[in-house]
Amino acid sequence: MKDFPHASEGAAIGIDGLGIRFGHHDVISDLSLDILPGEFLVLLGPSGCGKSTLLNAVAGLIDVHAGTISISGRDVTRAEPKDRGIGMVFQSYALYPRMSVAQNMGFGLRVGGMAKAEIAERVQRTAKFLQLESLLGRRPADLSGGQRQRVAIGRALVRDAEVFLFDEPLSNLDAQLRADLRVEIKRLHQSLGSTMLYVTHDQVEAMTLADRIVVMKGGEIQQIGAPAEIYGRPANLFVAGFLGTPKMNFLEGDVAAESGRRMFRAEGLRLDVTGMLLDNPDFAGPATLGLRPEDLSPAGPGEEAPLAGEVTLTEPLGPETIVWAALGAGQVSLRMGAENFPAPGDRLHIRPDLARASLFDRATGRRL
Amino acid sequence: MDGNRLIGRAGLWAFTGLAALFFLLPLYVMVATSLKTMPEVRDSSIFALPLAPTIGPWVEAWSHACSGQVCEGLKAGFWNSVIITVPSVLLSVLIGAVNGYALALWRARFAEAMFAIMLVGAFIPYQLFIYPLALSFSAVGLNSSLPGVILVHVIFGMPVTTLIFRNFYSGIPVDLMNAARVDGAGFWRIFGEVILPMSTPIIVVAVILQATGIWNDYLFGLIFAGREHQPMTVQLMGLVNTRMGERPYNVHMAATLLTGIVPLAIYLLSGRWFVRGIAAGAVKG
Ligand SMILES: Nc1ncnc2c1ncn2[C@@H]1O[C@H](COP(=O)(O)OP(=O)(O)OP(=O)(O)O)[C@@H](O)[C@H]1O
Ligand SMILES: [Mg+2]
Repeated sequence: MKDFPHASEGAAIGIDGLGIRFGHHDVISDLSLDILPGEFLVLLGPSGCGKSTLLNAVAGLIDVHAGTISISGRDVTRAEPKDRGIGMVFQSYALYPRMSVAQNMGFGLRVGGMAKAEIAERVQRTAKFLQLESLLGRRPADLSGGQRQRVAIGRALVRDAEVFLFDEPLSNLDAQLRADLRVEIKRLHQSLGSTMLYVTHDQVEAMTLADRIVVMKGGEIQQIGAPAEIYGRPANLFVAGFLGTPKMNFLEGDVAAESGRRMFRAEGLRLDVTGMLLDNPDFAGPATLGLRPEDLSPAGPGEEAPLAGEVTLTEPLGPETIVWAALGAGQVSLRMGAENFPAPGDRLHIRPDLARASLFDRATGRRL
Repeated sequence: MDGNRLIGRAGLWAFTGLAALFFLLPLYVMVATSLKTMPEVRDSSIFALPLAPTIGPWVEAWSHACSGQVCEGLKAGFWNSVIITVPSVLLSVLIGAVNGYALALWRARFAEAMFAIMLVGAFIPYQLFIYPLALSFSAVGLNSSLPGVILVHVIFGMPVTTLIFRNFYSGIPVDLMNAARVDGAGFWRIFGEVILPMSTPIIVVAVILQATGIWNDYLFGLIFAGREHQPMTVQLMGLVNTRMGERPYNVHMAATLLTGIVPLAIYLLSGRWFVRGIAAGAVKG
């Protein structure tokens, strides 16, 4: 993909104290978020958490009852969608069924009153960039799903927007196409440099595409951060459980000080967690220890292994194997190599990498 | 095939045959009679085939038969019906489409309430409205005029066309509207360039429904059209009721068939489209 001759740079987006209400139901209340110019920001969260609602508010497609939205420093809270300098790509593609691909892409420019020749030239340029040239005369019904989504991206692209909004653009595609288009979107961002706000509930998309991820739940932001930070240092139990397959292993117990050292104690388990860097080092009480499957490893002979249990199930995935084991404190999964993994029934001694573990206050769910 | 099923089949065929006969027989009698001369009508059984078929009664019905004092056949009524039906259909379908579009795709204030009122309008027998309407029309000078009768047809056609279009447009995804809004298009632009081009199947349905309904109307034509613009149905009534000696049954049959030909043709020519339109969803691909 060559560089796209793009007129505008990315714009900053500021969302401040946003409140959105449907009837008497507050879907989003007092939400604030700053998006940097040129940033690829992913909104991630379970179904119904308000991702699309937030995106539509930025697009100007729904009314906001409190707060402000600004793009490039300009207050657009009450502006029409067309006056916000945005391009948008929808989950269902939303191509105009009775228009050709070229007409679909040129519609917005035509509505904007651009001269025919210039529209044709821009459509041509964008089509070339997205390798859609051979499809320009076709109707959406005569395209494959992946082609339709590329046309939808093209339609957003011709308008030289400063901000691109994507609402689960890949979720109607099969796995292979999804992976291909994901790479295309990433390249697109690299060559355009525009600000992108991208909604998904697919954590792989979020991890691979995002500069920063915003994890949402029930209309509230749970955590904002770079993918590695969200994955490595989840702010609460929800974020910890939402990202990662298989899920982070949770061991329930309590934290207590014992002769100057901080101990995590659970059924049949005592771990010295003095070395863990905690925001709240003086905490004592019920806690949950979170360990990613890749942070558990089988102990070799003679190595110290605080966890022990019986293997119950193995899932060979090709490059790696997920091994499930029953401990006194619950089921855990381990990420192991493609070969030399234990069989169900085997006794397994496990070493946790505590430097990468997370501790949560069980009462609030918050990271300690 | 075993015995029982055979008997079942035979029963089924017998029943459908009888049902078909029940509807076809009167039609046959009408066609046969309309092709006979009056002496033959008098002498033969109504079921007999015409011995010497003639189109005389059809010509008579079209251009000479008397309706009251006027003896010019039904042709004037035919053209009156055309100039009443065409604008009434176009307007009621267009207005229904715009209404349905606004109600289904724009979250208009009070949309639900307006739709409910319209539904009530669609199901209240319209005879109830005739007297007040006739009075209001004469108050504003619209009584007994072409615009008057067209207006009545448009008003009474609107609830049903609105209902049809609203249901069809409810199937259009919100994203399509959102995409058009992001592209900067407004209410009319989206309607004209995005929505209307997708509406062919449902337009066909609405046109057929309205065209046959308005063509077959008798009451509104009688009350609101005035003498100048009497539709064909009203003239037919006059023609059949005009008594001058012996009843010319052959001419009456021909006149009735002439009046029914337009809706019949619409059904026959568009039946396939009609079914397709009713079955079609809003969005393909
Ligand atoms: N037009 C509406 N009227 C009433 N409630 C709505 C409307 N649109 C969304 N909601 C509600 O707002 C909440 C958030 O919806 P939203 O579509 O933003 O979720 P989402 O995070 O995009 O979910 P998904 O991943 O399923 O698309 C949901 O509880 C939904 O029921
Ligand atoms: Mg959504």
